[in-house]
Amino acid sequence: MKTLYHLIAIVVLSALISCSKEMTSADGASAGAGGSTARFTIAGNYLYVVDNLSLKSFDISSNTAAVYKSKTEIGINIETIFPYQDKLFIGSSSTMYIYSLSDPANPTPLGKAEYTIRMACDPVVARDSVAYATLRSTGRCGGSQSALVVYNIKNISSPQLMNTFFLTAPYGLGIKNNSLYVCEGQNGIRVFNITKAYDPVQVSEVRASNTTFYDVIPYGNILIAQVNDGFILYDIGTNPLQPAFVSRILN
Amino acid sequence: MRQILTLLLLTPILFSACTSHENTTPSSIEGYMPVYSQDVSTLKEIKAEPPRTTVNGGKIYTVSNLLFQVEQDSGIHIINYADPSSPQKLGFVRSFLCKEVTVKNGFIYTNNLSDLVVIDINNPADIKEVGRTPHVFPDLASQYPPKNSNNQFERVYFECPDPKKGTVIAWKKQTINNPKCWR
Repeated sequence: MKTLYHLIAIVVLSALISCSKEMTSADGASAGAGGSTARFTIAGNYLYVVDNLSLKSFDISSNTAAVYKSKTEIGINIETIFPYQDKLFIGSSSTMYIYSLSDPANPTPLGKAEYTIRMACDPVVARDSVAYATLRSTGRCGGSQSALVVYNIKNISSPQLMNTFFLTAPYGLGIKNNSLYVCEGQNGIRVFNITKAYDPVQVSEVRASNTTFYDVIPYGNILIAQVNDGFILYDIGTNPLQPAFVSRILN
Repeated sequence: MRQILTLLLLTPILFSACTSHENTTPSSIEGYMPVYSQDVSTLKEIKAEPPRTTVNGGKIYTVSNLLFQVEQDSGIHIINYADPSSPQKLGFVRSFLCKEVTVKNGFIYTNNLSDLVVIDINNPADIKEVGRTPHVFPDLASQYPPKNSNNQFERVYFECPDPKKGTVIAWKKQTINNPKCWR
């Protein structure tokens, strides 16, 4: 057991000193990454959490304590939160909300877009002037259609719907460079080329038998996929548009 | 403790919302069973345990070569994938009703019941809770089962809690027979 502890210590230490440049946040600390379906996220020295109705901010600069700062009522059926640059993208069952972190203790609303497909489960990710959300209407999510929707967010106060792709059962999603990965539950991961940001083109898909894909984190050269019984790692360093299986955790 | 008492005091109000003599109750339907605890302090215990099998893998978070994965409602697996071809489980951190995880500077932020907790993992020989904010997630541990978030009007059936069995600390979705309670 002791050697295990040493191993963890070494790994944690190396985690703090060995991160590559693209994974280093503005304050110089190693930055982690979460999935798009999370209800917790860290941006800078703040932890943001969403419950069904509201967004709460906590100052974690002391590390040891999460000091409550503010609560912002957002809407109803809030499900996910995703940070990008100085903004938070918050998904509810009917709306994508964008909040500014210019005052990180007190996020302020910038804009929102109401989905034309209502009653869905819908994580959001963003890059530059585009936001992608999946709307899943299977199971408890209610609605009648599932889709990937693409928004132009150049004018952040009024996102423009640019494109809609009907999908089977989309869950979480993630972006690396010109690749967009969309989990489709038992139907694997669809990979889209987003060189033309508003006009994604599906170029490949990843599947695994008896496996349900829920979310992904593209992190450096590795795509981490959350699946029903653990996770699967794919190499996206060689060709981000063609994820190559590396390993699956053996329970 | 005070919160538990408050919840117990609220229990009659919850029951009053149930109708026990209703001809239209289904004989068998997907509903919720209460999960009881006699000892909430045990459920608030955060502690390191040896690696365990992933049964119901939940949300993930990564920093450098470490992957943190929620085991639904039980805790967090810590995995080293410095060699991606052979990821190694390093250990498990127990946190009852765990559903979320983020990590920064060797501190895990997660939920324990409905509380937000901070867990220091910088010294792996002494993994411990260092902070707790109660009731940040009221919807994660409530005394009655959740409504369908996308259809608030849909009737949700559940087995009526029996206070003699302890405090309700969670709800388990399953087929129930002749439910007497709904909301």
